[in-house]
Amino acid sequence: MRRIGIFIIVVFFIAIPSSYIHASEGVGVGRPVPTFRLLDENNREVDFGTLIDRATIIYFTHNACHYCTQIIALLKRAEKKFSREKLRIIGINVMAKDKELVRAYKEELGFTFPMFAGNREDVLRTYRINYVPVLVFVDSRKIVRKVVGHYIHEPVLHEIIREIIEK
Amino acid sequence: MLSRRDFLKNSLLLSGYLLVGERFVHADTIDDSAVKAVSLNVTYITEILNPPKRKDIKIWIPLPYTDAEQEIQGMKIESRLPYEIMEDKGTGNRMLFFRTDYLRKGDSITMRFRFRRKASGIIEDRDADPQRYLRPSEWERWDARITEFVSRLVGDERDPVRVGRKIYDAIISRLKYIHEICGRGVSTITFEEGLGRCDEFHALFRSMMMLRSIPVRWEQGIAFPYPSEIKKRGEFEADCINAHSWVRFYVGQGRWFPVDVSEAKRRPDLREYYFGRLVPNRIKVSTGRGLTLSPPQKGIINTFAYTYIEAGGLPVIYGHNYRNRIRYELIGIET
Repeated sequence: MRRIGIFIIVVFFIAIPSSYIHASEGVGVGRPVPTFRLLDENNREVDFGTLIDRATIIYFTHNACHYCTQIIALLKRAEKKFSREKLRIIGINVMAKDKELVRAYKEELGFTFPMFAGNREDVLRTYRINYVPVLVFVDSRKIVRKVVGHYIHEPVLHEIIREIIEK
Repeated sequence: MLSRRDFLKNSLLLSGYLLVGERFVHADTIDDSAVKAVSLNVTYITEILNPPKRKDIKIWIPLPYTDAEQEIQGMKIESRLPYEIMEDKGTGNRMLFFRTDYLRKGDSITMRFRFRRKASGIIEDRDADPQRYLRPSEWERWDARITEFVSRLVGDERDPVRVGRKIYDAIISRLKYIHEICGRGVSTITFEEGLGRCDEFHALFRSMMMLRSIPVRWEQGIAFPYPSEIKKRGEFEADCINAHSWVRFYVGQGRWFPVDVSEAKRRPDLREYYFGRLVPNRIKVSTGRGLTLSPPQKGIINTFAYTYIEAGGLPVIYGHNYRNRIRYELIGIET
């Protein structure tokens, strides 16, 4: 019964209409992922594109979003399941303008993935971040494979990760 | 021919109706557009899940207040922490403010009150300066695409209600509604993406109306279930998913006209209703966007619908450090 439920959820989200997929001129499925130099928790400016050397999830989040906090747990489990060698997770906090909030966020949640301060007009406009959570799935060739702009269930997350790892 | 079961059910309903009186009816039989008022006992709880690691913890909780559309009675506040009741003079927003260096896991702040909300239409507020509501927040600025769209849509029309209707219909047609997100309500992105929930719909409405020099007020609250769906008792999260916004635009002589564009999208049967009226399934807790709380917070507040906490001058994490819940008990629905 549980397997049938999971199957239905996976089919529903894979078949979700394109209107629910977050795509635009800046970030679009099948196109190279836009990258920026952003501040990390140590105030170092890092081009996060340099970190996309394997299948990667770029995760846009902020502090006031309950679903986003829940997704962090899913991402931690996903990293463990698929291994760090195959899957990179990058967090972008759209509330954070500098290192302070990024550092506090990582400390509070035990967030071990790289995270950057993303409250910047150019970043938010390019990725069309009008809400969170948003997950951008990128393959090892730095091509965007899927963009999901809503809560994601774990079986669906794993399904998409498998797809980008295989690309 | 009625079955025995239906006969018993109808008899029970009829006796309940006769006992309670015609003004209070069961939710199953309710037409949401015919509801005149809803009364509830409300408990709002902020609970500390994991105390923030940083000190100098400040907590602001929006304090709902009585106005022309809602009554708050018997407000009781329970907490081990001392608090102050603050008011922002600019917006009139009221809030509870707590300051401490140490929180314990399981600490909670509870507000209990009796609440009655009336179905709302045009309200008169001659004290409000309409000019103040022509200033967009940082998320409601418009660009050339919005300007051109509004120019084509509205033409030479000047009457605020007719302009409002054109924009209301256009946004409903243009945008898709999505619920499980925490919106930033940025008008330019909303216009391009064509997607959002209440904050996105109303930010865009506000931008388009202000573009035609029509003042628009932002009202912020939390949504309860519709009268037709509400249970005798219920509980839900008071977070960005259940936060709800709506707006009122100025139609002259101190009168403000309400619209709820996103709910009109969600409930096509209420599309006519929501242009000028509001179902009483909501509690207003603040007004405005881009707020400065009292005392001022360090972080950026987009809207103030539920508890906001900072530690060491930084916003803490909802769902990890704390959460808010609303419990309600239905007292009555007036039709």
